[in-house]
Amino acid sequence: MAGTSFLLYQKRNSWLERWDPRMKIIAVLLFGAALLLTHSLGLKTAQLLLLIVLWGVAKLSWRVLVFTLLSLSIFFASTMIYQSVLTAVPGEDMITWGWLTFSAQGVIRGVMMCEQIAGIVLLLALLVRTTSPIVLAEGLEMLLKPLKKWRLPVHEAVMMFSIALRFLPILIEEFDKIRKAQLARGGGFHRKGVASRFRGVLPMLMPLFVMSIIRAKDLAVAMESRCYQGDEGRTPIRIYRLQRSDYAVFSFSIVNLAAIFVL
Amino acid sequence: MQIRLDHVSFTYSRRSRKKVQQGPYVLKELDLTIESGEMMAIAGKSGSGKSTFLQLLKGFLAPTEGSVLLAGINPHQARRPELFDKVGFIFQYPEHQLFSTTVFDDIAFGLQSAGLTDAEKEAKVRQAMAAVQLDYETFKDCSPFELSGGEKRRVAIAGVVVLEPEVLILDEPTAGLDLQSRTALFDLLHGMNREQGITVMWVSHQLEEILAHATRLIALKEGRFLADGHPHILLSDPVLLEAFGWEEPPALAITRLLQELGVVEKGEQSRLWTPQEASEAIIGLLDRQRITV
Amino acid sequence: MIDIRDTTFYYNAPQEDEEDAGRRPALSHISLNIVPGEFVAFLGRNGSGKSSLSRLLNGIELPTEGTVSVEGHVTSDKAALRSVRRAVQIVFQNPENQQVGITVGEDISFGLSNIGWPQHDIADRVAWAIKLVGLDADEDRPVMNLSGGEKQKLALAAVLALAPRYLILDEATSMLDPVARRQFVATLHEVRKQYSFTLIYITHHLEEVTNADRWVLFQSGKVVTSGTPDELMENTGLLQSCGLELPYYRTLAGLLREQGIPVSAALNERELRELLCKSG
Repeated sequence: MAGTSFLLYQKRNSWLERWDPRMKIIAVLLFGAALLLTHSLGLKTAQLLLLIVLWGVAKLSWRVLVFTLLSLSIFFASTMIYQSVLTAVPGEDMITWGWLTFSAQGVIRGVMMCEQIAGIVLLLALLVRTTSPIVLAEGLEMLLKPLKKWRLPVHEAVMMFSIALRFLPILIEEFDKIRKAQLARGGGFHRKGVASRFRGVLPMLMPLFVMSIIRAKDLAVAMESRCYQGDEGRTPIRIYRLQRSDYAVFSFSIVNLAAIFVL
Repeated sequence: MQIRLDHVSFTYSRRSRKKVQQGPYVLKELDLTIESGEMMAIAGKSGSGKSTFLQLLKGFLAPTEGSVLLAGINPHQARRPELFDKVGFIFQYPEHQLFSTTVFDDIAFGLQSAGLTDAEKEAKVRQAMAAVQLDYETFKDCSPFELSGGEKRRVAIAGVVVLEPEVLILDEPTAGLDLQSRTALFDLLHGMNREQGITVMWVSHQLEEILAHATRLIALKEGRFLADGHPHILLSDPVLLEAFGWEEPPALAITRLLQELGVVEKGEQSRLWTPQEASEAIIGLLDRQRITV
Repeated sequence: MIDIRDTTFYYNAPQEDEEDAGRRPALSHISLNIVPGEFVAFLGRNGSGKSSLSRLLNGIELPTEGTVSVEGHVTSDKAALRSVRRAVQIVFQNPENQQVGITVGEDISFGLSNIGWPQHDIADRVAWAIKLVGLDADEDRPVMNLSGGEKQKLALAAVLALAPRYLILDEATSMLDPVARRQFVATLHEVRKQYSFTLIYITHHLEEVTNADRWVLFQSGKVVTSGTPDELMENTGLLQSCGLELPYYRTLAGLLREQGIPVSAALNERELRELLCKSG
């Protein structure tokens, strides 16, 4: 459970949690577009810094931030090498440090790429960690409403997504239990080569699979029994009204995107 | 095999920055000796440290302080983890861990790494199935998923018994079973205990079940043993009953009442009175009272 | 009223020309009425059909033969399904597998939202339901942090919020420890004093249903018998063959009464003590 608790939304009563989910999703898209489209190192850095500030405003743990960025370090490293060493274009300023030759423009390109990766990951992390899955699902559903005209199962897809999030921690716990139970049945698990003692993953995955099916069936019955019939005649759980702060967030996202074309 | 806990404490530690933060104690300074061949029940609410305690006995977890000794040896210190193989562990709803296409394969799963010939393997599976009273020829080729709840559970138990444990730990073995399957399961456990001298330890919430089958009960609360002794004595102790929110099992209350009235000898504590016996005793008592009047 | 008429039910209906045409149905030729306000217990071994029947009552499963109707609506009538389900609600066995929401409030709102409860009243209704079952949690509490007993109380709150007239408890206490189980049963009866509904209680713990109006005994998909607890308790042999064990005091009371000793059916230690000490 400890492993998953930081993956998901937890109520912290921050300012970001009060933002309207629709506006949050739009802002994430606009901000993401801006981040990808800028060619200015300064702007990209400023945007990344803003995200880090927002992380603080959202009262999220700094440890998780560092952990998230560290988990991307292999991408950062390979991006830097690729951009600055491998794809150096003739005519760029080449710098030589000992045996290492790299291009100055390449380094800037690399840094910008890394900022992009980090920015997108942080943006999505902010969205998921400051929005309750059901709220997120409802927001998404409202935004995608036009697609229902073409009979796309928007509601069903969104519902599946939020239930998956709800059951993820339970499945992870279950996996741990099955692992231990199979180890207890396998004998000799304390000795070396734990992995080699399991011929394949079947003993783990099969019970997990069976359990998930049982759970899914149980849950489907429970939902149906509670009068769930798709989105027919449902009242949304919350009333979403755009507040002044939502308009501010929206305007800021637009300005941010526009700035790229102006500057 | 004797199991001994020597001043065992356990805490899940959390690492943060530089220092290792000690979380709250899940188990605190436990001392306990479990002799070979005991029938022992373990009681306690969820969150009492029960499950951590069991995992220490199987070696899934190592104590933060103190030591767990199997046959006098600390397997962690002596680097003899294979000692934990002698402890069989059966989780709650063990039938959920079945995965093979046939009962035989599922039971033989644990034997894979032992380097046995097919004949040896078959002999062991036969023996394990006999121990859980499943007919070898009838069931060996069945799919475990087609069996009834009670049968599935016996297959899962056979999968542990086949490893020839000396100690068997079961987490709520009768959960979800009906009366007939529960009785059958305990007949099985008593048989293994009596004939092979296997120590049986099980977690139970059912006081009647504990009373009927255990010769020793340990009750855990907030990481400590609140009581350790014969269930007949513990389950009529008002202080302990209060601490766990339990109600005294009627069989004990009646036995005590009959004792007070002089129907039962004081020393006869380990015997429980069935409703039939109690009714006869009560009728006899009333008759005698009528005569004296 | 719930009216079950000559109902047979197969989980997988056999085709007539197929070999497995002889496969045992989960329920066979059941006829039963449940009247409003009643507290009825369905009893029997695992797989005896008691849970299958409960699923027919709110149209989760439809009878293979025969009809089930709830207050005049036949469950197989698609147009009436929603009113049938609103009238008949179920609390299931596994506390983990019936919550949809991440928080207590979201979960209770789920059902309300499904039946089109007026939006402005949802928050009040959620608060009402939490209070009704005495759940010690505000609506923002994550479902994951609740204990098993609390999860079942939440399940109870979530279905009661829909104002059902019939409530089915399908072995709702079987995964709880005795203390949580006793609390849950106490809560249930407390709630029933404030808000009355027909109660259908499925269990194999007789002590939870000694105060029921009627017991219905199931065996191999058939109703063996039904009657008041006092009538059926006389027949210990039948109860045992249905996997049911009479509580100790009940058995004792039966035995004593057979011998003409005037004890009440709800015999307890105090009564016995008085009986033995008074005359002594």
